[in-house]
Amino acid sequence: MLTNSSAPRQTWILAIDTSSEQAGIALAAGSHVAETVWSAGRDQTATVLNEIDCLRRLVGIEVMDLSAVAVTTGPGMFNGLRVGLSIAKGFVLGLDLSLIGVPTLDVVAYPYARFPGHIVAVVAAGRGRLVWAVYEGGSESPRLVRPAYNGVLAELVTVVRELGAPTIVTGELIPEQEQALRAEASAIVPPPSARLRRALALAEIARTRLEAGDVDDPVTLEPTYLHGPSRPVGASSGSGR
Amino acid sequence: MNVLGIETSCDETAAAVVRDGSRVLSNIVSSQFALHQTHGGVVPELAARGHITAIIPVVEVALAEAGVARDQIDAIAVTQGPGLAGSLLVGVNVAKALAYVLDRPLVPVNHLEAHIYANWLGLPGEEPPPPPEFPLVCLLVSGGHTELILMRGHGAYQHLGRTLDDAAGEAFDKGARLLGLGYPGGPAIQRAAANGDPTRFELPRAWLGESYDFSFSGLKTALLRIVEPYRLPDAEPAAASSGPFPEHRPPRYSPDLPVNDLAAAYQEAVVEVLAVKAVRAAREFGAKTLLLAGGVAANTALRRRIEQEVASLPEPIPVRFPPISLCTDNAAMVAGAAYYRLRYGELAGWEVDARPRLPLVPDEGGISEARA
Ligand SMILES: [Zn+2]
Repeated sequence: MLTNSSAPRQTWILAIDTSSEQAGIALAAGSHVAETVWSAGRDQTATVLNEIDCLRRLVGIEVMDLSAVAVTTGPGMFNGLRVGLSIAKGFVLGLDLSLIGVPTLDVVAYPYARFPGHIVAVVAAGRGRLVWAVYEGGSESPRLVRPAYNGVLAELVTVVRELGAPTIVTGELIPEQEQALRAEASAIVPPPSARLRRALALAEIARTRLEAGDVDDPVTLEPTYLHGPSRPVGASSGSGR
Repeated sequence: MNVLGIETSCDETAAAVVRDGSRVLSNIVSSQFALHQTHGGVVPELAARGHITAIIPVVEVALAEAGVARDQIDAIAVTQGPGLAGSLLVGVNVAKALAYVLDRPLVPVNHLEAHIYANWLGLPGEEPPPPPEFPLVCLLVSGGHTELILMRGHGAYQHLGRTLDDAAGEAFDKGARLLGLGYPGGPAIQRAAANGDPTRFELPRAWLGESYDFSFSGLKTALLRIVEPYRLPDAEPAAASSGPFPEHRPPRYSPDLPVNDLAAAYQEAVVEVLAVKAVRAAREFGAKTLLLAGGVAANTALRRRIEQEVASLPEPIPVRFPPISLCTDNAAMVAGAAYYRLRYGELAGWEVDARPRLPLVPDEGGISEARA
């Protein structure tokens, strides 16, 4: 097994994000960081733990070196969220780690915290639907001003138009959605690489909370299940596994 | 060898510790029964949500009751399928992560195989029974499955027959719903049938010739035809449903509907076909044991009928069924089955996925080889 003697043996946080078909994991301890982001599609159950194992070996730490697990709690794809929560709970069961659940859209907005305007954070909810929330930037952490909503592109375009300039739209958008939003004069839409949901952002948010002693109850922590208003009654999620 | 089993294929969150494939040290089942009762059946999305919050306490209690520390667990077994996708993935991912951090083998188990292996288990704290003798025929009857299986050795399965439409448990659920008896249907029908006359109504049996397959959909239709004239118009619809999952509203009947007699006739019709075919198969394939497995195996009318059929044979075949608490979904059976898989070196990598339609035999209708 690879070992890297320079890796510090304290307070490593494992971050797991499976809110959508894009999955991400990170290991972070101070300035020592490593991250993997990939398109897991419906194969999150089949891929996440292998990726965690690879990243752990790359960093050169043992599972015993972990002190907390951070996980995104949604909204997002129901089954995707359950994969992350379940893996996180398995780590907690085996190692008595602290567990920190972070709303997915907080993670999306986080890199633009200092942006002096509105931040519209977006996550793909599957079946062409989008979930977004509106934040106000300009400080250390973005302030939520409009709660998460499960809707379609046309509704998102209207929201962005009404917010006016300056508004940044970040998160998962397919090219067609990106184009429609760029057509709005008030919207700044960064390139895909700068909109990517980052497991390292999740780890950073979790670090702040861990240091403040603000951890979650591992038993009761569960995903945020946000149904769209037009969702057929009684339908199951049918999202990834 | 201590195996921790985890089971989340449907609506029960379960964990258990089993030693050497037969000695049950703990067997914890957290049921979402009350939750699904108001919906007249299992709502897959709600079941998946329930597992997420039940899983940690269930595993912790299973370890505590077994008096086994985490580092005394030698392997972790989990139901891989068949089952509900959103439910299975909770158990599979928790088990994987736990096996990973404890550095123990992960054993994915087929839920149907687990039901069969409940016959190797004793109750917690009790001496396990002598292992069933091969070759054996197993009638596996549960809410989702009705299968007749020939087993020549550990892990060697041959499908003799299966249901072409509803599983026996589903047939009970649907019959109970028609009679306004509630959910789950098997126990509800059994209770009503206890005070009923099974001969008052003639309900059809689908024998399907010499085949070992089953069919219960015609039976349900026949029952519907009998109860329809007693049906009263539905009451005023309830106020707006509370949330995205609609509640089940039972049908209303005139008070002279002979519920108990109908329940008795219906139960008899299901049980007779199951018993006769299982015993015929056991005879044809020279079974040394006839096993019953699955939730419906807890039905006393079925047990009685099978024992009757066997008693009338020229050479009776020993009939075995698990204790009732091990018939319904539980994790002890998963840990039990995993012990034999482990003995044959069948381990999984971290890429193992939940498989909602996992068959017992790889090639549908085929035969899986016995392991030495
Ligand atoms: Zn079952």
